Order: sequence, then structure tokens, then C-alpha cells
Amino acid sequence: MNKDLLLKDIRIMLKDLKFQIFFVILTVLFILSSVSSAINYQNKFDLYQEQVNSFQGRVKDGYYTKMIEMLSNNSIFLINKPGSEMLFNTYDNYPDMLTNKVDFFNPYHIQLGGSKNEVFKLNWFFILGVLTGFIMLIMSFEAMSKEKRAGTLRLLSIYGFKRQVFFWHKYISYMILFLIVTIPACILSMLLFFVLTGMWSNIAIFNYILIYLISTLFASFFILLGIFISMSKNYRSNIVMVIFIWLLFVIIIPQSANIFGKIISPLKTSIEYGSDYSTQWNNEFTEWQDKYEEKVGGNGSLEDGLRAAAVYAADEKANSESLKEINDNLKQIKTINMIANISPFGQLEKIGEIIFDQGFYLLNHQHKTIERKMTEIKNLMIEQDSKDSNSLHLFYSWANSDKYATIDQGIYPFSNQVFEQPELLLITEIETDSILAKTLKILLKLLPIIILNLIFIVANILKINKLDIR
Amino acid sequence: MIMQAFIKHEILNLLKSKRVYWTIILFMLLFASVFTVRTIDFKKQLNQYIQDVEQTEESLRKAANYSYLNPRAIKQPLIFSIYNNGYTYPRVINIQYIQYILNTSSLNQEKNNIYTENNMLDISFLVSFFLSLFILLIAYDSVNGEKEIGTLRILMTWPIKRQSFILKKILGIFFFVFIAFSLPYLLSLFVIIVLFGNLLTSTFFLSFFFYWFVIALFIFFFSLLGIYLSVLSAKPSRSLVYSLLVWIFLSIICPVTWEYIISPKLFNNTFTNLKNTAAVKLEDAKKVYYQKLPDEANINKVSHFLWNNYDLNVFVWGEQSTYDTHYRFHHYLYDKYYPAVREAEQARDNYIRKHIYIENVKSLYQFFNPLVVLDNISMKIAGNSRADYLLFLQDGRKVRDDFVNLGVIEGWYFDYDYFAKYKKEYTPMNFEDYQNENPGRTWFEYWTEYAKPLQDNAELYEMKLPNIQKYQQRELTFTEIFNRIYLFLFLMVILIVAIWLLTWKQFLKYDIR
Repeated sequence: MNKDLLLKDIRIMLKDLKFQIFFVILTVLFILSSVSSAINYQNKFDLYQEQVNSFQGRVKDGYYTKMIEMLSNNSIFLINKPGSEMLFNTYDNYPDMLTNKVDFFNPYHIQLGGSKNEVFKLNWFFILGVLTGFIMLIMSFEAMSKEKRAGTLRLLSIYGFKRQVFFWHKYISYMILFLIVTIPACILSMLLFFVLTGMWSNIAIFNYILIYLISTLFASFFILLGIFISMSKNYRSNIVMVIFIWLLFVIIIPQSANIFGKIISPLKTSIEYGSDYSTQWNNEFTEWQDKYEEKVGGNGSLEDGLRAAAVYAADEKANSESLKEINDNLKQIKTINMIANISPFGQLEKIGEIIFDQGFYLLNHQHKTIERKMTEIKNLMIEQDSKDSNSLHLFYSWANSDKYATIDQGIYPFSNQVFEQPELLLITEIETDSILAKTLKILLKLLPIIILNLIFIVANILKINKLDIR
Repeated sequence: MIMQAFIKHEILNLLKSKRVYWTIILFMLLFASVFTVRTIDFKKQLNQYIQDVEQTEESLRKAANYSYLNPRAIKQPLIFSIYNNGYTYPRVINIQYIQYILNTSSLNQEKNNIYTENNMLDISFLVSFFLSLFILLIAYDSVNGEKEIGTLRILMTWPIKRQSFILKKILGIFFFVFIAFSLPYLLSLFVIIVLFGNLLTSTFFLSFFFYWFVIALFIFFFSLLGIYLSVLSAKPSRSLVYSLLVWIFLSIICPVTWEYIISPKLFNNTFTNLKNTAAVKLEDAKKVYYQKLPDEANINKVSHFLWNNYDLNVFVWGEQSTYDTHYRFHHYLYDKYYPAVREAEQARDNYIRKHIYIENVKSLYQFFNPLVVLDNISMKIAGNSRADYLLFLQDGRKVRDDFVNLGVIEGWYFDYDYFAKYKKEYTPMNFEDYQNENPGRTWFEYWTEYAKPLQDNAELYEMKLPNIQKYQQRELTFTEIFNRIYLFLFLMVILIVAIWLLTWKQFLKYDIR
């Protein structure tokens, strides 16, 4: 490695108009991304606060936290608290809020405020991942051809430089260039975002440093690709190919993933799912009706608990059918993600999800959390209900509407008391994997881009050794 | 004649360039793939629409009485959505006049309830995003490339005016790209005629030709822009960087800055206010229904029985007091509740209107950006803009209003025949008498012993299906389409003239050495 050659390379690149223009663009975009993310954060936070206030209002009101009422409504709320991840990505394809009943795991997914139907978003994922990849391609696609045209490649080889050294010089100079362009802008952007939102935490800073370091691998891939293209004979024609490759990764693969994902993992229509649900429910309930007749059907007796058992069993059957819809939805998302992961940008996005606890990665943990909390709440409710002498201790979804059968005797199918621990009904903190498990997952997701980098390093070395430098 | 030869020569030259060749091949491949995927998707949507209509008509036929007639306004998917997906919204409006507000649903549509897909891939996107880039890639070295290899200097020694040369370049590139776009575009029309010939209306053809014309203007603008950038710099490598910069600025920086900074800063407060007003009005309407309902009209305070039978829909019967209360309930709905519902709907419309206004402001604010203008014009031509959604909602409500008014005129809305009744000879004991005879017995026991046989004594009268006005899909006329887009067309023409003058001026003083 020749230090003078490297410094000279970097100096020439810094003087290049392309570099100067891109440097200004990236810096401006990074600053704009902080402003836009801060606005987005404030909007999301307002929506979050609105939901939390609404929940607290319900608790204060006391009506919806009556245990018998809780049986017929979605009583458990899980709300995403917006945080520092907004600067990296908004993840607004996924729900912001989940609600669930207290009897079975069957979450209802809600998106607060809707999502913007835009291809690009002004955040780090777009600038640092998508746009910088493009810029590095444009910067480096002339790396070797320019030297060849100027005759410097020939001249340097006369001085005894190994061909591989040219490649390493170019590669390292472009990597340093990437760092020069992005590090100050990233620091500025991060600080501005933290100042505008009032958020500052060591974990957030660590996460941003980590995602930045990971993004260098992706930038490296595009630099290697650019250098590889610059060694081809008709480099100017290859600009079309370069841009097409970028568009393929940025638009065509992610957008096609939506289309092909739906074809590979199709869903039934809402009418079909609804009909399956009703059929399961009716079949099970009819079986109970056939067996126990009026004790179950119509407005049968409550004391023997048969009606409650029948409704619970029918709900359980129908719920398992309803879970199939959720699983089908999840399967479709997995397929879409799998196809989108063919693009390196898709992988970077997924790594971001793990680092910032967002998106599909978070969704799986949200489901686990809500299911665990639901079981906990269910047990607590049954325990509290067992102490209520005015309750028939029947835990089933129709208890609230069936209460009119016994209400004039002061007896309820299930306790009419207020749930003693309403704070459990609101979940804002979601437990995700341990640091070790996360590191393993990130490394696994990094493997393809590391392999791609290695392949292109080998390909570039092989190509430069065969290159006609005359 | 010379000009014609020049243009022909330019087009042939372009065809020989490997870069141009690959650009066009890629564009055509992308066009074919996007068109195929969109056509398959449209076919699917059409089948779902047919199912929606069949199920709705069957449900209307099976309705046991007027109270649960559920007509729907179902929008047929637009064939032109193959080219321009536009603003997507549920295409079914449920018209149940007892409900507090009309709702939209997806019925037979497949919808992922967890993940919101962000699918932008249609022909409009292909044109605005890819074709603009491809034109710039074709045109960036059109003038300075000739200068670099020396042909420009040789040409200028001939008796050719600079104006003629630059005009030849502009028209050559324009016609080349326009033909490259028109070939698959016309072929796609042929495929559509073969596949969906029976569904084609005059609106489709109007949209098709308007769209073609607008895209021609778009191609012309970018051809001019590419040539201008080529004239602006001496070296092709520099004009390439300029072209990419301009493209990044127009296609990425401008839209995202508007969407994520300017628009939220300017309009978020207004949006929040309008959204809150709509929510308050909706709550007010709900209060009229649930809280302000007088006791004499409260159907929940009289004993009445509902059977939820999947074949017959739902019907109501009970004692005389049940009928009287239901009768008063419907008068209350008509007199007090509907005005509140209409107010809530107006507030919601104002919210949507604000969105439409902002979409237009976005195009005017970025008047220099043909990509944004094209996006706006495409939706307006296709008839799938947010404004069309508002019209659809209004049409749905009109069907609802006509339906309710028909009920009032024909009398069944305020008629006792509204209910299914039991046979005249059958007289069930009312609950009060039952309790007097059986102290301590519950309502459920009363139900089991006395009211259940009502099922066997039901007298379902033959319901004559009212002549409900069906939802009529809007068909746009030439004047309507023109009125929607003339302002934006004017903007595009101004842009073209401006860039033409700039190119002209720049080339006259261009150093050809």
C-alpha cells in the first residue's frame, strides 16, 4: 500500500465536482431528515398520548374496567411509544396499536394516523442506505476507466506497482470518501434530532453508531460494484446498467415483493374468513344445543354453567379459525419480506428493525407480550371473581348480555366489580430479545452482504489482473 | 425535407447506440411486466366486484322485511387503473339507514389486516420515475457528445443553422422516446380490447387518449431538459452528473421535502382541527342515537324479539307496545337523527376536501416539477383521485337518502308492516302478566316458556321489494376531464416553452470547438 498514492487519490476525489455536489446534497438531506423526523415524531407522540389519555379516561370512568364488561370488549391495549428510531425509519406499514380481549389471543391491529403512500421517506434509511448507495455507484463507476484513459494505470505499472494495489487504493479511497461525506452530516443530523425532540439516551446513540457502522458494509458493496463496472470496456453504456441495478434494488424488488408475496401467499376474502368463523362457532354451539337443548340455547339456565361452557367452547373454536386469518396475514408478510430481502436495502431495513425494536420483528414480540399479559390478566380476574359472592363465576364472553337473567336477584354471571389492577391493561413496554440473541440475528442478516462484499473483492482482483491497461 | 432527413438520421443514430438500445429494451420489459401484473390484478378485482354485486342482490331478495334491507353502492373497478392505480379506497358503501353513518367495506377483497402495503408500481409510476430518467440518460450527451468527437464542428461548417440543428436534436429524441413509449402503450390497448372489450366505455378511450397526450408533453419536456443539460456543460461526464442531480431533485428531494416537512408544517394543524370537528360531529350524531333518544321511542326499553336467521336476515316482533315504540323510533330517526348524521358527513367531507385542496397546492407549489404535475393529472384523467372518492361517497349517500325517502313516500318506513308479525289467532302472554302469575321468574324463563313458540306462529308477510335506486357509476365526459386538468396542462406548456427558450438561447452562444 502506497500512502502517497492513496492521499493523492483522495485529494483528487475531494476536488471533483461530483463529490462536492453530492456532499452538499447529502448534508442538506441529513439536516432535512432531522427536521422531518422530529415533526413526524411529534405527530406520532400526540397520537400515542391521545390513546393513553383515552385509556386513562376509561379507567377513571370505571365502567369499562368492570370485569363483566371486560369480557365483551377489547380490554387490553398495546400501544407503540414512538422513540429515537423515527430518525432511522418510520416503519409505518405496521400497526401502532393492538387490542385484545381477555379470553383468547386474537389481537386486532390498528394503524394510528395512517401511512403515507410514498416510495421514498426522508430519513436515515433512505439517505444513508438507499441514496448513498446510488451516490457511491455514480462516484465509483469511472474509477478505473478514468485512470486508464489518462494513462496513469500504465505509468504506475511501469513503476512496479502490483495491479491489486490499484484496486485496494481505489477501494480504500472511496471508503474514506464515504466516511468523509457521511460522518459529519450524520453527527449533525443526530444532534439536531435529539435537540428538536428532547430525546437523549446512550442507548439511542449506541444504536445509531451501530446502524452507521453496518451501513458502511452496504456502501462498500456499491463501491465494489462501481469499481467492477468501471473496468468494463464500454463504461459509459454501463451507466444504464448501474442505474438499473440500483433501481432494481430500491424499487423493483421491494415493489414486486408486494405483488408476488400476495400471489405466493394469498389471503381469503373478509367474507370468507367471517363465514369460516361463524360456521365454526355455529357448529360447536349446535353440538352443545343438541346435547343439552334449552339449557344451552335460547336463554338457557346459567346456574349449571352449561350455557357458559357452550359459549366458551364455541368462542374457542371460532377463535382458532380467526387465528388462521392472523397466521395467513403473517405468512403473507413473511413472504413479502423474504422477496424484499433479495435487495441489500431490504436486509438493511430488517437489521434496522432488530436494532430499533420495530416493524415485523417487533410485531412478533408484541404478539407474545399481549398473549402473556392476557393469560396473566385472565388468571387475576378469575381469582378476584372467586372472592365475589354475587358472582356465578362464569368466565365467558356473553356474561355481560346474559346478566339480565339474574340481575334482579343481585347476581351476575361474572363479577360486576372493577378490575383491581387496571394498569395491567395498558402495555407500552415490549420485551424483546436479549443483546446476545439480537447480535446473533443481526450477524445472520449481515452474512449475505458480507459474502457479496467478498465475492466482489475477488471478482475485482481477478478482473484487474486481466485488464488491458493500454 | 432536410429536417425530416435529420430527424430520421437522429433516430437511426440513437438506435445504434448501445446505451440507448439497452435503455429502451429495459423500459419495454418493465412496461410489459407492470402491465401484466396490473392486468392480472384488475381481473381479480373485477371477479371480486361481480361477487360483491351477486351477494348484495341475493341478500336483497332474501330480506324478510324492509328494516334490514341492505342495498350497497358498489364501484366497478376502473379499467384505466391498469395504467394509473390512483388513490385506493374501499369500493363498497353499505347503506343501512338505521346506522349512524354510512360505512365502507371491502367485502370480497383480499386485505392484509396487519400490514399496509405500499404498492406504487403502475404505468404512471413507470413513466414518471423510470422514463424521465431514461430520457435524461439518452439525451445527456446529445450535444456535448457530438462536440467531444468533433462532429458538431463539422456539421456547423455546413449551411445548417444552429436553430435547425438543436430542433433536430429535440425532435429526434422526442419522437424516438415517444415511439418507444407508444408501441407498448398501443399494444396494451389491443390486449385490453381483447380481454375486456365488453367493459370498455367512451370514458376509457377518452382517458386513454388524454393520457397519451399528457405523456407526450412529459416526454417533450424531459427531452428538452436533457438537451439543455447537454448544452449547459462542455463534457458529457459533467452533464451526466447534472442530469442525475436534476432527476434526484425532481423525483426524490422535492416530493419528500413536501411530504415530510412542508406539508406537515403548513397543514397539520388544519387537518387536526378538521379531523377533530368530524369526530365531534360523529359523537354528536351518536349521542342523538344513544343518549337523547326519548323513552317513548327507545326500542331497548320494550320487550321485542330478534331472530338472527342467516337465511331470512333479522326480523322484529313483539307486543303492541313494541310496534308503537318502533314506529316512534323511526320517526325520531327521520326527524332528529338524520340531520345530525348529515352534519357529521359534511364534516368528514370537509376533511377530505382539504386533502384534495392540498394535492392541488402540492402541484402548484411544485409547478416546475413535471413528475408531480403528471401524477396529479393522471389521477384526474383516470377518475381515481381523492375527489372521485368524495363523489363516490356523496353518490352512496344519495342512494341512502332516496332509499329512506322512498320508504316515507311508499309508507313502509313508518308502517306497522315494517315488522314481521305473529298470526292473529296467537296471543302470547306479555311479560308483566307472566311475572304477576309467576313471581320471581326471570325474563329468560318467560322467553323460554311463552315467547319461543312465536317462531312457529310467525306470519311472514310477502315483502314487495321496493324499487331502490341503484348506484350509477359516473362516466367522465371530455369537458369534465378537460376542466379537471386544463390548469395543470397550461403549467406544463409554460414549462416547456421556458425550457425551450433557455435551450435555444444557450445553444446560440454555445462554443462548438
